[in-house]
Amino acid sequence: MLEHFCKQNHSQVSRSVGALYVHVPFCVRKCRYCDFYSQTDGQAAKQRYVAAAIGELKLKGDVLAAPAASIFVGGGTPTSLEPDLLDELLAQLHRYADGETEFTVEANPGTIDTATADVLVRNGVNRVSLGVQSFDAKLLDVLGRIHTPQQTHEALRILRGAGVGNISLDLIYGIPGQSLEMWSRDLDEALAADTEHLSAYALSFEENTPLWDDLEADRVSPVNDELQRAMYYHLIETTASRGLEQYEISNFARAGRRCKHNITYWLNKGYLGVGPAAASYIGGRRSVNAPDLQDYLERIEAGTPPQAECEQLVGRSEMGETLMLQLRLTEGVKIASFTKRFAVSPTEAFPRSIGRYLQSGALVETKTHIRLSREHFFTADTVLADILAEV
Amino acid sequence: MNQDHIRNFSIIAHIDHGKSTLADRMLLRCGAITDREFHNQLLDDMELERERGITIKASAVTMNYELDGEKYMLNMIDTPGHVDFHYEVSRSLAACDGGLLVVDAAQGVEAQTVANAYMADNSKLPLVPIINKIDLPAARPEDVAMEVEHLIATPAEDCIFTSAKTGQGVDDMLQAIVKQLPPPAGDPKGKTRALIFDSTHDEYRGVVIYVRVVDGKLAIGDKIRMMGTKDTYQINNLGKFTPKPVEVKSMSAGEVGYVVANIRELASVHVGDTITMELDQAAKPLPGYHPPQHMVFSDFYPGPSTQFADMRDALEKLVLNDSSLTYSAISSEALGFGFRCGFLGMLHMEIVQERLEREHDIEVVQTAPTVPYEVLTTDGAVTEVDSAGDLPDANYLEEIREPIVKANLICPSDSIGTVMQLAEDRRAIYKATEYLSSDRVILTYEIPLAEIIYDFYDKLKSATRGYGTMDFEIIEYRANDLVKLDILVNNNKVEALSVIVHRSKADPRGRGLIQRLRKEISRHQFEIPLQAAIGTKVIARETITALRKNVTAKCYGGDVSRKRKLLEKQKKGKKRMKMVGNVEIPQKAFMAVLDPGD
Repeated sequence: MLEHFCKQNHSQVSRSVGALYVHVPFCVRKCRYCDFYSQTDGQAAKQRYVAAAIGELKLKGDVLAAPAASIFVGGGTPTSLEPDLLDELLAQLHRYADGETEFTVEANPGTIDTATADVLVRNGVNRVSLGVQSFDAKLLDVLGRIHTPQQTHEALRILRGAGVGNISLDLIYGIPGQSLEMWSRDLDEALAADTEHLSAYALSFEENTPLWDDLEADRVSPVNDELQRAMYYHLIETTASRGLEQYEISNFARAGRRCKHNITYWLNKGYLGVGPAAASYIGGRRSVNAPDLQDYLERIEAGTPPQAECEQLVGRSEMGETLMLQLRLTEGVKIASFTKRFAVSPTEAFPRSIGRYLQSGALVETKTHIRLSREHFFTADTVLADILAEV
Repeated sequence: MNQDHIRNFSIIAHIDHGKSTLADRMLLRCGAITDREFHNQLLDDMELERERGITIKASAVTMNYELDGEKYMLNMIDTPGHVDFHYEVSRSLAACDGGLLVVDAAQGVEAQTVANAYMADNSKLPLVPIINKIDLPAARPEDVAMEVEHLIATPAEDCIFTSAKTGQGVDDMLQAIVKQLPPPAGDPKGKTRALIFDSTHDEYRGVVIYVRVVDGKLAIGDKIRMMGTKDTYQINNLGKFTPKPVEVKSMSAGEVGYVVANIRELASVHVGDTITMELDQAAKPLPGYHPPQHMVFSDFYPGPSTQFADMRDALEKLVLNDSSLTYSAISSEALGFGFRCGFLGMLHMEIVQERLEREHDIEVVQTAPTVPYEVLTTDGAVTEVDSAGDLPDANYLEEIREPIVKANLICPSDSIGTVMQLAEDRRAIYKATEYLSSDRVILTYEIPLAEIIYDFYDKLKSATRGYGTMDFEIIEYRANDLVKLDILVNNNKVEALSVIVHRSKADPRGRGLIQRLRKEISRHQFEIPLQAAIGTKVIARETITALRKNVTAKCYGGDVSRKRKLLEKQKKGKKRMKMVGNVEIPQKAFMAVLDPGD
C-alpha cells in the first residue's frame, strides 16, 4: 500500500476515538501455537521500545477522546517488561485515563509477582486478562506455555491481593490430547476462581508456528470437529449455569463486566493502536504498523510514520466488516444503529445472504436485532463468508 | 474472367497439419500478402480461435496467378476444422470444384482427413494430395503417400511434397491446382443461383455473406431472394477478399466473393441456402441445404454476480456473429431465470461460454449439456425435447428416441481391442472394419450421440496412445430403452440435474453421479441427503454430513483485515454456483451429470 495514503489527517478525527491499544512485542518465550508478533529480546530493545511507543502515542494521541473509554495493553506479554519499564509505559498511558476508563493489561501467570501487580494498580490498571489457557500441566506443555497451574493460582491471589477487581481468564480448548472430560475439569477450575470474565478459544493451528509443524509432521493430531463442537457447547452451557453470560462467540462475563475495549472492535468503532504490528481504525481507515520491532523502532526514531499497510473502507466494504464483526456478538447487529450508520438496513443491503440465512434459521431477526442463532455460533464463518461475498 | 481461368478449391486438412501456413504461402507466392504479413496468421481472427488453433469461420480468398502467360483467378475457400462443424465443411466443399488434401508427413492420414476426403469424394470433388511438413525430422513422406493412395486411390507418386515452413513445393502445388483441378461448371447465361457457404457479421455493414455464383450473375442493386428462408434483400455491395476486401460491380458464374445486402442479423442467413433473383427466380435451389442442426443443448443461468438482463444482452450480441447459436428464455423452479442454448457441439458450447465470460463479463452457471431427443407420447404426437427436465410424465410416454451417429474411428491396428471395448461400453453397434494400411484401421460404428459428446474423444485418445481420431455425423433418431434419472438434493428434485440414460446404465450412472455430487457440493450447516431415482424408485443415496465447525475463535482489532480476507477466501473459486433451496450447487456439480462413470 502506498505510504502517503497511510498518512492520516488527524485534525479531521481529533478526539474521535475512544479506545487505545498498545502492543508490547516481548515474551519470555514464544508459545508453540502463537503467531502474534513478539520476540524475546534483551533489555536494550525493551528500553528503546518503551521510548518509541510513548513517542508514537504523543504523535497520535490527539485522536483519542480524553479520557479514553478503554485502554488495552496486549502482546506479546506486557508483564514481561521489567517493573520499572512497565511503570514508565503505563504512567504515560494513565494520562489518557480517568476512573471510568477500562484499563486492561494482559499478563502471563508466570510473570506476575507483587512488584508487577503493584505497578499495574499504581498506574490505574483496573482489569487484568490472564493467559491461563489450561490448568492441565501436560496440555500447557503441548502449548509451550511457560507457567504451571500452581503459578496461575498464585498469580490470581497476588492480583486480588493488590486490589485488581476485574480479572479475565483466557482458556484454550481443542488442544491435541484433550478429552471432553479434561476440558470440563479445566473449565470447572477456571470457574472456581470466580473471575469476572472468561474468554475461551478453540485452538487454531497457525502457519509458521511450531505447533503447525507438529501437525504437518503428524506429531500431534488435531481434536476432531465433532469433539470441539461438544467442548464449545459444554462451555456455553456451563458458563451460563454459573452466572457468566455469553456476549460474544468466545467471551463470557458477569453482569456489567463485558470487555468494553473488545466491544469497540466488534461494533466496528474506531481505535488507535500503538506499537509494532498494532492496528488502528480511524475515520474508516484501517492501518497496521510495521510488524518488525527493528523496523518499527527505526521508523519512529527517524520520525517517519510507522504504518506499513493501510486501507480505506467505504460503502459496502465497511458494511461487510461491520456485519462480520457485530454478528460475533450474541445480541447481533442492532438494526437501527446499522441503518443510521449506513442509511440502509442490513437486510436491504445484503438481501441474498442475510435472507438465505434468516430462512435457514442460522440468523434470527427480532424487532431490534439480527443475530446468529446459538447453534450456529460454531459455524458462524459460513454465514459471515457469504455476507462478505455479497459485498 | 472466363470460367476456364477460374479455380475454386479448398484445403482439406486435419488440425495442425499445416493448412494455415500453406494457405499463407500461396498468398505470398501470388503477391496477395507481403513477407511481413506472411508471418501473421491471416485467416483466423478471433482470439479464442487462435488459442484453440482452429479456424471456426470459413472465409474465401481470391488470388491472381499467372502460368505459362495465362492469368488465373484462384479462389481458396477455407473450411472449418472441427467435428462440430461438419455441415459447414460440407457446404464449403460444395462451393469448390476441387481440393488439396493436405496430410502431415509425420502424422499421416487421420480420421478427419478421411472423413473430409470421403465427403469430397461424395461430392465428386477431385483432390490433389499434398504431403506437407517434409522438413520435419520425423517426416516419412513416401509412407504417408502410400496411405493416401489407399485412401483416395491416387497413385502415391502423384502426391506433391511440400514444406509450408520453407516454401518448398509451393510452386508445384499452384501448378497442380491449375492443371489438375477442373474449372467451374455452371451456366453463366442461366437463372442466377449462388450458394451461401458462410457468413460473418460486420459492425458497419451488417451481415457479410460468402457466396459461390453457380449460374447466372450477381450485380450491385439486384433484388435477391433466399430460396430456403424466402427472405428478399437488395445487394448494396459486392466484392472479393484478396485478402483485403475489394469491391466489384458484378460477379458471374464460377466466381466467389461476398455480398452485403443490408441484413442485420446473422441468424437470417443460413449456410447452404441458395440466392436467386427475386424477379427472375431459378426453378430449383442448389442441393444439400438444411437448416442449422443443434446437437447439444445446455441451460445457461446467470451466476450470483450477473443479472438476467445483462446475460440476455450479451447473448443478443453474440448471435450477431455466431448464427449457429440459439437461445430462448426459460425459468426453472430451482434455478430461476436463464436461457436454453443450442450449439453445434461441445466445443461450440465451450466457446460460447468462454466468450460470455471474457468478452461480456457474464458469470455463467450452466447445466450439463444434453443431446436433443424425440419423444412419442401416447396421443401419437412427436416432440423434440432438449432437456431431461422437459420430458412428459412417464404415463404419457410411448417412446424416447435418441440421435444416433455414424462414427469413423481411426486407430493403430494394435489398439483395435481397446477401442472396440470402449465403443461397446458406449452402446455402439459395430458396422465395419477397413484397413487403411497394414497398421491403421477405420472402425465404423453406430453410436448414440449422447454417449460420445462428453469424453469419448479423450478416452479414444488415451486408448490409442494419442493416435486415435474420429469423425461422426448424425444418421437418425432411434427409439431405445431410455429412462429419466432424477436427482434429489435435500429431498428436492433438481430438474437441472436430471439426465436421460439407457436403463441398463441407470444404476451405475445414478451411483456415480451422486458420489460425484457428494464431493462437489461442500458441507453445509445441515445434513444434505442426495438421492438418485427413476420415477419413485430410489436407486442410490448418499449423505453430505453437516459442517460441524467453521468459526474464527479469536477476532479482535489487530486482525480484522486478515480475518476478513480469510473469510473471503472461503468463497473464492465457488463463484459460479447456484442456490437450490438452501443448498449451494457449484458449477462443477452440474457437470457431474456428464460423467459416464466408466
